[in-house]
Amino acid sequence: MNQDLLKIEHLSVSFKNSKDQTHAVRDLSLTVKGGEVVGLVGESGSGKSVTARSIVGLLSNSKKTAVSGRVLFKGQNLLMNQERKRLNSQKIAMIFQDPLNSLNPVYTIGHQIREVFMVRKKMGKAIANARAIDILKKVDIQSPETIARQYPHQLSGGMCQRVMIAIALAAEPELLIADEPTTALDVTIQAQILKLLYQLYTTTKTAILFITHDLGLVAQFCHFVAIMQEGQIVEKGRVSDIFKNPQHPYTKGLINSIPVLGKKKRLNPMPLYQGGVHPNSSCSFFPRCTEIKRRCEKETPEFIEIEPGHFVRCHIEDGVSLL
Amino acid sequence: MNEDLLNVRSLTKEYINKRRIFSRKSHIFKAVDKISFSIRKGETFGLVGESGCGKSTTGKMLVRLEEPTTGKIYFKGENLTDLNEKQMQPIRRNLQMIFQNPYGSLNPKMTLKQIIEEPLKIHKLAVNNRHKRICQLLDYVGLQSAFLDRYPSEFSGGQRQRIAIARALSLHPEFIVADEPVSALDVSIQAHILNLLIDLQKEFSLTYLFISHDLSVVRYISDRAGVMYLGKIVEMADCDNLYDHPLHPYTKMLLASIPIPDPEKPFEFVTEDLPGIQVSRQKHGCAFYPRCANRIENCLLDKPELKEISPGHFAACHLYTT
Amino acid sequence: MPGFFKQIVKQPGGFIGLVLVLFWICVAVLAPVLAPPQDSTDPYMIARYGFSTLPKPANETSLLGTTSGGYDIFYGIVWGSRTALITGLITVFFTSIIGVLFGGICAYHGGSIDDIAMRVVDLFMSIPFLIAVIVMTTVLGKGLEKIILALIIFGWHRYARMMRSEVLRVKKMEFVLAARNMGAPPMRIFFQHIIPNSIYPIIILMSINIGRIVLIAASLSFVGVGAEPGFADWGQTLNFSRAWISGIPGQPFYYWYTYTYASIAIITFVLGWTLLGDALRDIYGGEIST
Repeated sequence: MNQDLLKIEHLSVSFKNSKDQTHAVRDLSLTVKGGEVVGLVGESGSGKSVTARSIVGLLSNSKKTAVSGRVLFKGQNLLMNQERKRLNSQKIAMIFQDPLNSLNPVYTIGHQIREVFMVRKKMGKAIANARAIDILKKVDIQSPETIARQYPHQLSGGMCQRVMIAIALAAEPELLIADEPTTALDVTIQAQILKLLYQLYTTTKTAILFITHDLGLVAQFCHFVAIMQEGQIVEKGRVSDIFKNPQHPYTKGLINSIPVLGKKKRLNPMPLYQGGVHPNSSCSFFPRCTEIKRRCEKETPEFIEIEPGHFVRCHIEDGVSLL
Repeated sequence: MNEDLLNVRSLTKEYINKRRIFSRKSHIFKAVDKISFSIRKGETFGLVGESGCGKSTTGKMLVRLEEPTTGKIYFKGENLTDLNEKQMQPIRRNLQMIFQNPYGSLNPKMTLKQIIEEPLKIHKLAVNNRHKRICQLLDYVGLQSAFLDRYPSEFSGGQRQRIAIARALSLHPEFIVADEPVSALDVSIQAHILNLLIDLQKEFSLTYLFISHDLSVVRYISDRAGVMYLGKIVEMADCDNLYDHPLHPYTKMLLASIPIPDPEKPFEFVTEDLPGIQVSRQKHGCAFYPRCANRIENCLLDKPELKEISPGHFAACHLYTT
Repeated sequence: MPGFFKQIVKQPGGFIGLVLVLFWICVAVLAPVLAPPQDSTDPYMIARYGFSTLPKPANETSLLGTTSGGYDIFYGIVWGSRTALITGLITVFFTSIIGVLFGGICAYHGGSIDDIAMRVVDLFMSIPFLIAVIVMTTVLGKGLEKIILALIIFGWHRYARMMRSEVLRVKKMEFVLAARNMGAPPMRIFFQHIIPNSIYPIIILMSINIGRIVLIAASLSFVGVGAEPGFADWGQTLNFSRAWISGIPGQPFYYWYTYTYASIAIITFVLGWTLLGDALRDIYGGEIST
């Protein structure tokens, strides 16, 4: 069960627009083993969504997009076109952030779930319908027959997200990629959806790549976490290690930025990015870092294993900070 | 003890939704249902709730961007709801608002200079040293005057929110409604803006109504807070009491739903909440009834009123009034 | 300003459109030089060489030939460009101003004023354009001014509708709320906040409409409802060639010059403005959907 399910190796994605090139993802390497829940945390612009989309092949195919590296799913490189089509359709499913916009507004819920069974599993309409009702029950929807006849705009955000999860599950995936699945939902509904995902996880043991900006969710829901900043992973490891012993200044800054219920002390966030030239060669966090050392300006840090399984991309061992 | 700056009595906002052109039956939607609260001078009152609870509408009514259907709003003793638009104009200086969407609250066709200058122009302030005043305002929020010729599209979300704050400050307001001012911002930027708001409050003796769905943020910045659910205030207290000793089942559910960034504390998945149903508004009894784990007989019959359960701590729940 | 032109030129269609539009503007401006008027009191009367009903191909006196009645085709094309531009620009100018103010102010007010205004617009929309124009010219007589008047009266409603939907969209935006919050008077909000953010679709419509108006005016002249006979107008030039389109037996294109040049003029003129409008839409399209 613990084989490497998804292995991203040195993935780089950049977009060219009229002015310059944006390096959305830079040299990203990440592994998700079967049955694991891995969190990918980053703020806006960190590249986490682009990473997700490149796994399932949703990046635009234009000449302005440059992709390099490998995305191996059970050993096969998804970035090569034909293999992706064959594999993707069977074993990887994705749920998106905005449930209302991710469902087709002109088809009923039932139709959209049936489609998965009929297209991917080649089932007949009657069987597909029965399976659809089944799956709606699995995602805790009361009166699934009624819901199956309704259209997306008639449902609340939480219900739509359940439907999305149902559609994703219908494919019986081995890997589920959840791209900010609860960001657009109210906090009590978020709790419901997380509970649902947790229950489904315990029954199916589907590996999950959970993309979010919310460290709290990661702490509660994931086994492993990778922190992304400016297209690179800056720290990764077991969730317990990262929260107990955060090493990278960005990780520490993030943790310090969250107002925690119960604590009234003043937040001490990391400095803002004031703009200006972004040196590509050295560390991407350099302009905002409060713990810079002598090497930081010129040398790009590589991954260091601080403790077993806990990696940091930083010149940590260089002693006291210059600042 | 500070006096009340703002006093809201039985504030209601109804939307009438006519089903058909020729039908006489119209569907009344109560976005805000007879809420009452007061805000003391210099304090931050948090209004917290999920989408659809009416907190944004309440905020807009306080600055009269929406007209209340019924109810009264007293500002420094004066009833705002009696005033017409012309009488409101000078008072508007004191009631400013910061909006949620940093990408929508600034006119994309105006430069930074024009945006900050506009309120000064309208109320004819700082006629002689306008440029100095503008630079001063930018300084308060940490923006450089070199940016004056830029357009909103050239700024980041956090910077735009600072511009919105500078604009709100330009009129020397006493009261600011902050409607989810940090919800659209990244976490690291949120902290900066929150700290900025706190610092400005101290410097200018401001009073805030802070609206948010994020309980942690509300606790961080507020002195007192009210929890809203489907148009009503269900609990109200100072923050320590509200968060450490919540009374209303909805407040408890909200608090239990927040994921704590500490892997040692496992998630107590809220088991009482009924999943997968469409919650519709109740005609009789308590609005929270369908999702409540602590129902008693009275809950379906009577709508609970907001009552003071312990000093300064109000709750609208039958569990505490029988 | 220069940045604006650069953007247009970058679009594939925009470059062609700009070239065509500038070409015709130059022709129109240089008309007295390119085709000196025969009758200096009324340069819009097409120069005539003889009164023969038979069209004559290009010869020494007439660069592109003459149509039935001896009307010089070259003269007609050159001075017709002025007519086209004047017709297009004046019509679009007035229809847009009337439409924008009417639609914009009524939408901004909202309520029953908006409802009544929309019924007025519906009324104008329901009148069939061609019939209305024919009736007008029958009653008022022929002439370019009557055509322009008709085009304005039965054309402003398009702008009103479009402006209304834009104003309704912008009205809800938070910066408008912010302006109300700071106590801005309604007129200031309308002109400072709403108009600049809703005007782009109007500008695009204006550009495309210049071409369309000219096409309509030409069609009217072609069927004889437009300008007076002999007036320098592309539609008129085509009107003269009506009887000669089928040529002579065995040689259907014998009189090609009577309709070809005018058609090319109309096509390139309309194409130029339409391409320009499309380029504008590509540039500012993002703004509209924001």
